[in-house]
Amino acid sequence: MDLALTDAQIAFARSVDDFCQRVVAPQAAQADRAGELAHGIWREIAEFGFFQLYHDPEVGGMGAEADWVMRASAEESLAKACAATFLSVGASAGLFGLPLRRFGSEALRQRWLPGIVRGETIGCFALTEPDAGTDAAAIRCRADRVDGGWVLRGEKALITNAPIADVALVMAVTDPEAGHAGVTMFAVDLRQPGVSRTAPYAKLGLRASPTGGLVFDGVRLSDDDVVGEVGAGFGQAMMTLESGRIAMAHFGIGVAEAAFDAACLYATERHAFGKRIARKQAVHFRIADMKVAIDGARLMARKAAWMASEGIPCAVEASVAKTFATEMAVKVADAAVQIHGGWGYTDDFPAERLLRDARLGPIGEGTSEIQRELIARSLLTV
Amino acid sequence: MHFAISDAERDLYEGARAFARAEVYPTVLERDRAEVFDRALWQKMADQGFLGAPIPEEYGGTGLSAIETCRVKEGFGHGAEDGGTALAWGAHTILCGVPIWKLGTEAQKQRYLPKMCSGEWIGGFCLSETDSGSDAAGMKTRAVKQGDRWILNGTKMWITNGPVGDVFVVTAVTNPDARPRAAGISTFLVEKDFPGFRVGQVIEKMGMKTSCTAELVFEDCEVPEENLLGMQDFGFIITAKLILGWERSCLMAPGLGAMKATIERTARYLEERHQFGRPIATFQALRHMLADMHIQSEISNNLVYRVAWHLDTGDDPPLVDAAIAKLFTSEASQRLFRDALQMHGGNGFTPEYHVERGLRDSMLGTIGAGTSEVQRSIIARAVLDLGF
Repeated sequence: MDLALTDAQIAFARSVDDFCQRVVAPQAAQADRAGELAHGIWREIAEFGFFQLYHDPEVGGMGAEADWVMRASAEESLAKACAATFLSVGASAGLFGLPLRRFGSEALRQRWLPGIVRGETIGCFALTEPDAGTDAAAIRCRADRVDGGWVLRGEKALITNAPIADVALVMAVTDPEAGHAGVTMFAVDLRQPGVSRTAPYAKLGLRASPTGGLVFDGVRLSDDDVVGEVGAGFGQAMMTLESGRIAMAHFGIGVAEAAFDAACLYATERHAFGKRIARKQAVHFRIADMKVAIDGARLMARKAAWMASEGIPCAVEASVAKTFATEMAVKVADAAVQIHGGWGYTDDFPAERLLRDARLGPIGEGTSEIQRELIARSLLTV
Repeated sequence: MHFAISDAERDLYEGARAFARAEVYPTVLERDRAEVFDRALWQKMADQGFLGAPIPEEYGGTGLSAIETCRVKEGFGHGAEDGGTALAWGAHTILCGVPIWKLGTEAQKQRYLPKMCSGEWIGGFCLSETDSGSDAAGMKTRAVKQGDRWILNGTKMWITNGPVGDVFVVTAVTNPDARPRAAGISTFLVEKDFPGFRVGQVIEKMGMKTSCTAELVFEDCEVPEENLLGMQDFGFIITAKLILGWERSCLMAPGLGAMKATIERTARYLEERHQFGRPIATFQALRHMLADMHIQSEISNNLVYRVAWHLDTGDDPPLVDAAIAKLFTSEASQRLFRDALQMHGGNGFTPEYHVERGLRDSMLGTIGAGTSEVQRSIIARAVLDLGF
């Protein structure tokens, strides 16, 4: 074990956090109220180089110059500055971009990734359906073989970025008899005939990140749109979710950090009974617990991300990191609201937004219940 | 940054685990019931090189790093599931041995460390008194210089290894006018044969029964001046700073192993026990409780090893990280044993299933070496700018 960071990693973490606090954070509250991402924010994030962290030089990325520690600190800093922005950006860079990078053909990568890296193209990941989430056997979206390609029919729901995305990775059944081995991943251009979008959902939190449904009514796809092998889509989607879980852990850590900072600031400024409330032991100790939870989550997330970067199987570690980090974020944000008292319930302070935002964590990328099931399976033989 | 475990560390872990399973675990129920510390077992641990794990080889130790020491202790805890023996070992090696190694004169190191590493002598650490623990300002034990000796008067409380110890690191006030008062407390090495030293009452405990605990009484106890450990008046501050990181990593490590053992034990129980025609491991409520145990164990592990890593890099004493590790791990361990006991049902309430002992043993974790409340204070003060 060596927890030391290189000078380059420390310098990068500082610069990305500075960028996020300077450019992204000030827009978070207004973006939440408006229910859409701040104008121009996507381009600024792209110009900073956020998307380059994930991609190869051939498509405009940093390749090996970016390492897993840099990605981890970038994700935490962005989530801390604005969780909704992180969610949308992460869905495009990670959930859409990474499987395409890993499994897609050269032609597919060249078609989509340069735009993703420049921030001109927005991607999304379409697995969930109205009645199917992590249970892939329940997927109903169908892609049927036709001469020279495929025809896609069906519906996807609860898709981050669906209302604004240019392209989606869609998991569709290509062989209904084959179960998991009958699911294929397609890169679907959403600007073509046969694609329609449902109105964005009104959500508890993360309101600036649009979530919606996609409806495919006889969309023509070519063989070139298949990502990876026909029938390999389910496995590819699960591998994507595994790295997505580590990103969700970073989401939790970022939101919790923001809530922690807000709580510390308020508790040291607000006086009651002649004392700053930070000196009241009930508040004082709660702040200690917030710090402990964040540290525990961060180390676990780093461990899982390191394993992933080394190619060591880390499904269980990713589930542990995701579950702990996202659940602690809800608790930490709730504590921040409580420490703010009545003000915590208003949008004059960020705590209430952070609590609403944090609440997605134990749901997205596989609920806490699914994570616990995966962890339990690794410990039990029945 | 990496989280790799070296082959050498893995061997240390597995070696300690195998030893503890074969030599320590088989008698733990009986020793817990009889409330005895087993000196023969202690000697076997010494022969394995455990008792001097981090102490340099020139003083008879094994010369392991802090991370390696933790691996040995974690493996031991995994195999032994014997919190008391691990505690006796911690008090001996970490609380008594490490201060002598790091702060002692060459003569002190030569006199005590080889005997402690070989198992001939047992060590202990005396800080707490009836009315003083983490708040050193309340310390009443006094040491007054008379000629070439220090004369100690006072009573130390809850001293692990007290009834069997041969040498103790003892804190005593040497300058009662010092402000803060902690800057007037020195540390001494007291042998059991020094005139005026005696073991007071032996203390009965809820858990950790395989270690022994006593009140130690110093009545005009004569300590040769060469037995002052470290700087006069500052021994307490320096010792406390030094051992904080050690005790909040190495002393927690056996508990990490015990958590792993308990997860495995509980998983096997859930698979074997049938109700309503199926293994209870198929009930989701229990599966998820087991998953929670694993989550708590994993988070604890990283936090403890982070402290050990700090010790090996030679940074400043990792005060906050140590408090975080100690607080989280001790509380996680209690939750884990409570859940394990719950899942064992009626069986869990009996000693043969080992979880009720684990729960009793775990209760010391949030009290000893600074309560959870003290840890929270340390952490909150460090992160809040309140000007204390």
